Amino acid sequence: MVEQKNAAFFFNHAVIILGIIVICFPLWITFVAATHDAVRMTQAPLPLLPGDRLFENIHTVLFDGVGNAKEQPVWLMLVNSLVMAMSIAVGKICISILSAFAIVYFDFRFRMCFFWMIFITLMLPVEVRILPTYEVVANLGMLNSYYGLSIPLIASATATFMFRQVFLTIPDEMLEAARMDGAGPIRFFWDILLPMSRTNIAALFVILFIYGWNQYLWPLLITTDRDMYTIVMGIKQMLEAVEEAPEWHLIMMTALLAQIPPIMVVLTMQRLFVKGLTETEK
Amino acid sequence: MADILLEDLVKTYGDHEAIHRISCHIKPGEFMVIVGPSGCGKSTLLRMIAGLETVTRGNIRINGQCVNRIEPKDRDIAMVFQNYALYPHMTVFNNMAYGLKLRKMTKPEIQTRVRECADLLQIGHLLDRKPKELSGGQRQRVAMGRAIIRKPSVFLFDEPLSNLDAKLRQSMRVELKGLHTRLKTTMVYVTHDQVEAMTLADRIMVLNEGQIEQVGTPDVLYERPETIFTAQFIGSPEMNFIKARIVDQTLVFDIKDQGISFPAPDIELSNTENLICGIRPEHITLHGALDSGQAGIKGRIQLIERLGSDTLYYIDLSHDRRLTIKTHLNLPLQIHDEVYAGFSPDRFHLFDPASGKRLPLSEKIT
Amino acid sequence: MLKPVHFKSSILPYLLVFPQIIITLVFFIWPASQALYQSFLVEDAFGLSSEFVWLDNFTALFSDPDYLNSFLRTFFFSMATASLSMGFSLMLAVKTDRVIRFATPYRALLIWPYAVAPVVAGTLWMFMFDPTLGLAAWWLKTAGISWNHRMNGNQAMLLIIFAASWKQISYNFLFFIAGLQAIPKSLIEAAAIDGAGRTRQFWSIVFPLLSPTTFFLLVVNVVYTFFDTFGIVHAVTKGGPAGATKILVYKVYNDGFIGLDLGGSAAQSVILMIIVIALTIIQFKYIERRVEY
Repeated sequence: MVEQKNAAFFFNHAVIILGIIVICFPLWITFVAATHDAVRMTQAPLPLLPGDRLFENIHTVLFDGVGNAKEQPVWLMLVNSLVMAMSIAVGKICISILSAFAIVYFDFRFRMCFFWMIFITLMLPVEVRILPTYEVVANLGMLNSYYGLSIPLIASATATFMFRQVFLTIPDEMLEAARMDGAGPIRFFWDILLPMSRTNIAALFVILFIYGWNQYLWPLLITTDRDMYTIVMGIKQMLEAVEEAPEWHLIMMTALLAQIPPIMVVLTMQRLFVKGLTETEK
Repeated sequence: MADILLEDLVKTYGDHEAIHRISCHIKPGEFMVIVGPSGCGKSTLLRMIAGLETVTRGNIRINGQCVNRIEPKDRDIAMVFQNYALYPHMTVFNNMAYGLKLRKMTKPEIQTRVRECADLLQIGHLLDRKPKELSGGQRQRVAMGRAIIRKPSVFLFDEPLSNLDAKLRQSMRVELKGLHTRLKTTMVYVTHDQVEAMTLADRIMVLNEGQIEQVGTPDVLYERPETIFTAQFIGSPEMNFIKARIVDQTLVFDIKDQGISFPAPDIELSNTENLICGIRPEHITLHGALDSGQAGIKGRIQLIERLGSDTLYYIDLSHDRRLTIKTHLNLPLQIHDEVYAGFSPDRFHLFDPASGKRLPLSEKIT
Repeated sequence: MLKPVHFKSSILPYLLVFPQIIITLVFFIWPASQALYQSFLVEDAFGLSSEFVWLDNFTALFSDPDYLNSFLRTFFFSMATASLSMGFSLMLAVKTDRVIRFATPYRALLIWPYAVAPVVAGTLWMFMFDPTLGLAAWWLKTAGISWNHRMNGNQAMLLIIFAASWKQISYNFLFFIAGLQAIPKSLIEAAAIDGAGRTRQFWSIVFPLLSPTTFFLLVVNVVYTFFDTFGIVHAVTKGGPAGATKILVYKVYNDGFIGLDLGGSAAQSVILMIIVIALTIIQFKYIERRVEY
């Protein structure tokens, strides 16, 4: 019996570790590639262990740029990505929490109409309205700008629904007590509702930051100016050059840099991340 | 101190009328308890006084001023909620101070007020804690503190003790009563628990299906219930009801095979055939055997509940009739024993089952 | 859904919903209605005039073997990715659920791919399977399999399935873990007392009780493969070789943005819209049911 248990124990762990290897292998290879020089990266088979060029490569990528995007150093792309991810996350949270507050706590004309309008956005991802949305942004003169990168993406049904759900679970007496204490709607929102939704906001922020950081199709459509490239897009531009002159060590370094911020967010805020992921799906 | 005047108060939700023309005067400094079964409208009534529900028709006057259209915060009232509704993210201090801050009171003033109030409720050592670090009883105190601190002229309580365990509820009841004698503020208190109502109230309002059954002091409600509903609701265990009729100036119990009758005065009644006689369990005596000349109803003991100071006997009469008898005597009786129940007619309450009202006759049975 | 106790205010709620509504109108509803409108139009070669043609664009699409082909490929890609990713995640979730020790570090090592952008996921897999240099391609060659997804359509499809599944594993894993933890331990203990072995317990108790989670994930994965995998395809294969990996969302982009076929692209958008709407409705219907369950 004990032996059987031991066998099961090792089997379970073996399966998990194997799974982890499969999952982590691509990242490991990326890291290894990012630590070698251009010459080593043209000789098959490619290395499985890291080389000694880590810091040189980081420096080259950050400040000199890669391939087609040569005149475009990666640090600028990182800044663009950060600005876009932050504006999308903060913007989505702000406008969603406000509209959820209105919809849950106010009785006003067209309330349900507004609610359904927000609901519909759930069914209209960028992918199904590519051209006309591009036209709108172009007409508003928002191509190649941070506004164009973020504003069209900050309407969010899921975030609004999540806040609505959070507000609905707050007992009604909380509002009554606040009214007795003399709080009007804005005070109530600021002093009671906002602090009470703190962890939900943080959890949502984690998810939305990753969402914003990883946006691809949208920046691809509306940015033609190299100064506005985000890092996720920049990698694609570098890949275009692969067939002629692959600079795999630099591309992989860029890929590594591109994914470190969101991966760090997931790992350091694991609890919030899981909460955010499961709650926005309700 | 303020008085509250309810004038023909009506509340409807769509087609449903939850409160039917309630009128009542709550005197300055009075502890008024509104009691009734769940769904009787007692919470709605309290929330209308608080300003959390609109008034459909009629008026609410606090200190003579009609407050129908006045915001809750401007009514000079404070309320303690059933689930306390403490702000979870604020410390006890801030929970109590929040209302004062919104009223633009200065910092030192708030400090002294909170101190004062915390001392009164013995929660001074809890001021830096958050609500989730408190026990049920402590939360209850903080909720009261939040109300008291504003020194309102009326306190409203919405079943504030119902989330506490029995022992704590008892001690909080005593404290609450003490608080009232100290503060002398008008209090309106909603509960479904008649023991709470009896022990706390100066006067009790019995509410049933949105209507007032009776308003009176605990003694009056106990001694002279005006309706079957009140008679049934007040007192524990519940009052016994026996069908009765009046024949030739005698009151006869309608129990098959058992003739027992009491003298009744000759008063004109439209209906003498079909009456209900209510007798409290503590007003029935229990006998192992009848002395000669003594009248009683025969039955069998079905269940005995010993409460220590008192004992409850559940007696089976014939045909599914049952009597509850409460006595503090220690009788040598056992389950299934045959016993006799004895009555004293001056403790009878007579009701007309059609209207549910008390009959004037009741006082005159001798 | 409105609080029974609420504020009455004339202008404030409108101000509160205004930002959300204006963005929704300008960037969502207006473009979507434009797409709908354009899907009924045909423009002449110079884009000077357009003609209202009812459903001609749609009939043209459905008689276009290229489009039907793309439909079938998308369906295959979607199903293959969903089952591969969900199967792998479920296995890992079940195993992780059984080992209490190390569960936290294991979880950390399994959830990070969620943070990887689809394009980057595509890049990583493309690098591993690079026909001339890639490690995986090289290993395959030593095993006697020649790998070149730039020439071989099936291999290209396989590669994007791998990349797409890999990226989605952490999402599925987290939901399966949550689903497993929601199953009362007493049920499994009861089965153990009844004499069911580990495998038996899984198939007769755990798997059926997990079916709401599985169904939910299936819908989410289908949505993911239909829309969020654009980046993977764009980076790895560009729809090629010879359209072997041209999934619907890639085709919309390609025909509209590169090929500038307005009417055709709009019609494709409308069809995608219908698919999202259907999937959303299924998801919401299901969530309603789950509440009762």
